[in-house]
Amino acid sequence: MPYGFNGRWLRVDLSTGRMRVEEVEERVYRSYLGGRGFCAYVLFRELRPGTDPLGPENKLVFATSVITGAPIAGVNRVSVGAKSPLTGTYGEAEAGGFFAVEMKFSGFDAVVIEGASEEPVYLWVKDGRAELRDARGLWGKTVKETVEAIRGELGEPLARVACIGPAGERMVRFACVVFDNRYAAGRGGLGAVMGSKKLKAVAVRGTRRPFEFHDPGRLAEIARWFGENWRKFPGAVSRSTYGTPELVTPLSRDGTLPTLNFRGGSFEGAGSISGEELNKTILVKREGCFACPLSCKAVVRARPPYETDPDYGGPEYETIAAFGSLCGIGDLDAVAYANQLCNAYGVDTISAGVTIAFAMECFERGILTEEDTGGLRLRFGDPDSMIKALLSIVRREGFGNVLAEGVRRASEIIGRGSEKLAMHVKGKEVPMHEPRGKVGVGIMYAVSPIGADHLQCPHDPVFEREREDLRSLGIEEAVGRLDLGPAKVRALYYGMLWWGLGDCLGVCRFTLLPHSAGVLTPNHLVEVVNAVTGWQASLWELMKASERALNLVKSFNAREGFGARDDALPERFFEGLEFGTRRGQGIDRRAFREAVRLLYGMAGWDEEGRPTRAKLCELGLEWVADELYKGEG
Amino acid sequence: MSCIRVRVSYASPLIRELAGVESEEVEVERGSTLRELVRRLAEVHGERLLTALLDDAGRELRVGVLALVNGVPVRSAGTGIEEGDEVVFAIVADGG
Repeated sequence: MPYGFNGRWLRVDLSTGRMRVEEVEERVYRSYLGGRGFCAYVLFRELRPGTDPLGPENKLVFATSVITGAPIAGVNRVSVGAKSPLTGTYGEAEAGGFFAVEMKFSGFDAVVIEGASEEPVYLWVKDGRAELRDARGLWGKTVKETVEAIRGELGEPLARVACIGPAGERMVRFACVVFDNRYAAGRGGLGAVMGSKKLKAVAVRGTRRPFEFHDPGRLAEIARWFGENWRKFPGAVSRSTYGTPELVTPLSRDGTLPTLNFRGGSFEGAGSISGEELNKTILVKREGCFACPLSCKAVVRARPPYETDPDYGGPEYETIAAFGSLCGIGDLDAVAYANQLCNAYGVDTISAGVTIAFAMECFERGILTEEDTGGLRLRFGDPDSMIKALLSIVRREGFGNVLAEGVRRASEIIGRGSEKLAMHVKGKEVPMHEPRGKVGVGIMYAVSPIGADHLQCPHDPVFEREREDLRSLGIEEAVGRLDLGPAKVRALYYGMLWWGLGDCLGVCRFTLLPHSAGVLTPNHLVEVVNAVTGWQASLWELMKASERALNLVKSFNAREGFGARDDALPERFFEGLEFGTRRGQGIDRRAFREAVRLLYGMAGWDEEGRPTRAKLCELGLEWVADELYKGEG
Repeated sequence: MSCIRVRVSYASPLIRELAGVESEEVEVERGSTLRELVRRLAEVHGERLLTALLDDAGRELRVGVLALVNGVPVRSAGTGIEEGDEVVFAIVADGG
C-alpha cells in the first residue's frame, strides 16, 4: 500500500451500468501526480481524435492528487476533465471546497465516467462502494434542490455533492459542475458533458481516511507554520479580508479592469462593485476550503429586488467584473443575483458575462435588434436586461438559445460583423484580466491549451521585482509588465509549468508564492509531497511532471487539428483601449507573434505549437510521440 | 534640513484601510528613499502600515506589495524619491 493515496480509480460505464475498480501502479502517480496529469493521461490514451464532446464516447474524469487530504492550506482542489464542448480542445477545470478530500477518503483517487445513460442517474460512492441511483426525480432541479434532495434521500447530511443544474441538462456550452452549491469547476462546458451523459450528480462520503501519510508530523509542522505566519503576508491578509473582489478598484485604477466588452480598462462604477463595498453592504460571513485559515470566499445576502440566498455563496472577482464592469453595471446586488443564477442553474460566470456583454455591444451597434432578441433591449448599464438575458441563456429560451452556444458560435450564427466583437480564444470567453496592460497574460490566453484562461501562469506584475521565491523557480531577472523579450518569455514558461504543477497537485493559486496572496514557497510544496508519499521528489522532478502533463494536453489538441493559427488573440487586443487610464494602449502584433514563437521554441514545440518528437521522448512520452506522429515516418 | 513633498496614494483596500486615507501629500527629507518614506508614513498612520509594507528587517518591500513611483514599479525599497513624485502602494494584483 503506497503512502498518501488509494491506488484505485473507479470506472463507471453509464451505457451498461457496469462499474469496476482499476488498480493503478505507483509509477503512474509519480509520473502524473493527479489532477491535470490524470485527466490528460486518460483522455489522450482513451479518446479517439474527432470524438463528439457531447457524445457517449467522450469521457469525464474527476481527479484528486497524491497530496489531496493533507491538512495543508490550499492543496485540496478537485480537477474535472473531458473533451470540451465549448472549445473542442482538451477541457479541464478545478474547484475548491471539500469534495476532493471526501472523494479520496471514499476510496478512489479518480473517477472516470464513460458512455451515457438512457435515463438520468447519479453516482453515490461511500467508503469504497459505489452505486448508480435513479435521478429522474432530480432532472430539472436547481443545484441547491439537487444537493438537498440527494443528502435527504441518502440520509447522508455530510455527503459532498458535485452536480449540474438545468443548464447542464440542456447542454449550454458553458455549463459547469457545481460542488456543494458554491464551488464550481467553471470553465469549458464540463457540466454540458455531464448533461449529455444524463449524469445529474456525483455524491461522495468517506468516513475515515483509508491511507496513511508517510510523515504526519512534518505535515503538522508545515500546517502550524502556516497558521503562525500567514498574517505577516499582507497579500494573504488582504485576500482573507476582502477576497478576490479586492482586485476591482486597483485594476480599474490601473486601467486593466475589463469594461464594456473590453472596450476600455477603467470603470466609473468600480467603487460600487468593489471588495470594500461588498464587505460594507452584503457580506454575511467568510468561508473557505479544507484546512485553509484564509477563508477568502464571501457568503452574501444581496438586497431587494435582487435578494439572494447565502447558501449559494457570493461572487468572486471574475464574476463581479464579468457581470459588472464588462456589462457597464455598477449594481452589486444585481451582480450577486447573477452569480446566484449561475450557481443555481450551473453555468460559468465568466463565459456568461462575456457572452451577454457581446450581445449588449451588438445591440448598441445595431447588429442586433429587438426583433432578434425577442423584444429584449440589451443595453450596457441596465441590470434588468442583463438578468433577463442570463435567464434566457440558462433556460435556452428564445434568443438565449443562441447565446447558450457561447460567444464564438453565437457570433457565427448572428454574423453581420459581430465576429469582431466576440472576445474568445479557441471559443472560450476571455476572463477578466486586460492583456493590453499585462501582455504576458495575453500570451497565456493565446497558448493556453484550454482556451482563454487566467490561471495558466502568474500575471505580469509578479515578475516586476527580483524575489527569492521566483529565483527558486529559475526566474532571476525582473521584467516589466509590457515586456515581451526573452527574459519575460522565459518567466512565463517557467510560470506556466509552476501553475501547471498546481493543476496536477490540486493546489490553489492563492496560498502558494509567487501569487500575491501566497505564503508557502515552492520548496514547501516539495516537502508536502514527500511528507505525504515518502518519495524523495525534488522540485525538478515535480516540474518535469507538470511539463509532461502540459505536453500531453498540447498533444491532445494537436491530434485534434489545433495549431498556431488557434493560438491567437481577438483583434481588439491589438487596437488601443478606448478609455481608461491606459487609453490608446494596445499590444504590438509583431512583438506578440515573436514572443509566442519564442515560447514554442523554449517549450520544445514546433512552428505549429505541436510538441516535437524529441520533446515528448525527453519527457518519457514515446507512446504519445508514436500516436501523434504515426504515418509521418 | 530641506524637505520635499510627494503625493502618496493607497490603491488596494487593505493598504487604504491601514493608512486611513485614499491619498495624501507628505513631506520627507530631501534625499530620502522609499524605505524612509514608508517609515515616515508609519509615524503618521501607525506601525501596522510599516509592517504591512516592509519586511521583518524593515529593509525591503514585502512579497506581494507593489510600489510605483510616477507609474513605474520600483525594484527596491532603496529607490530614491524626489520633489513632486507620485508614489502608489498596492497589493500586487495577480490572477484571481
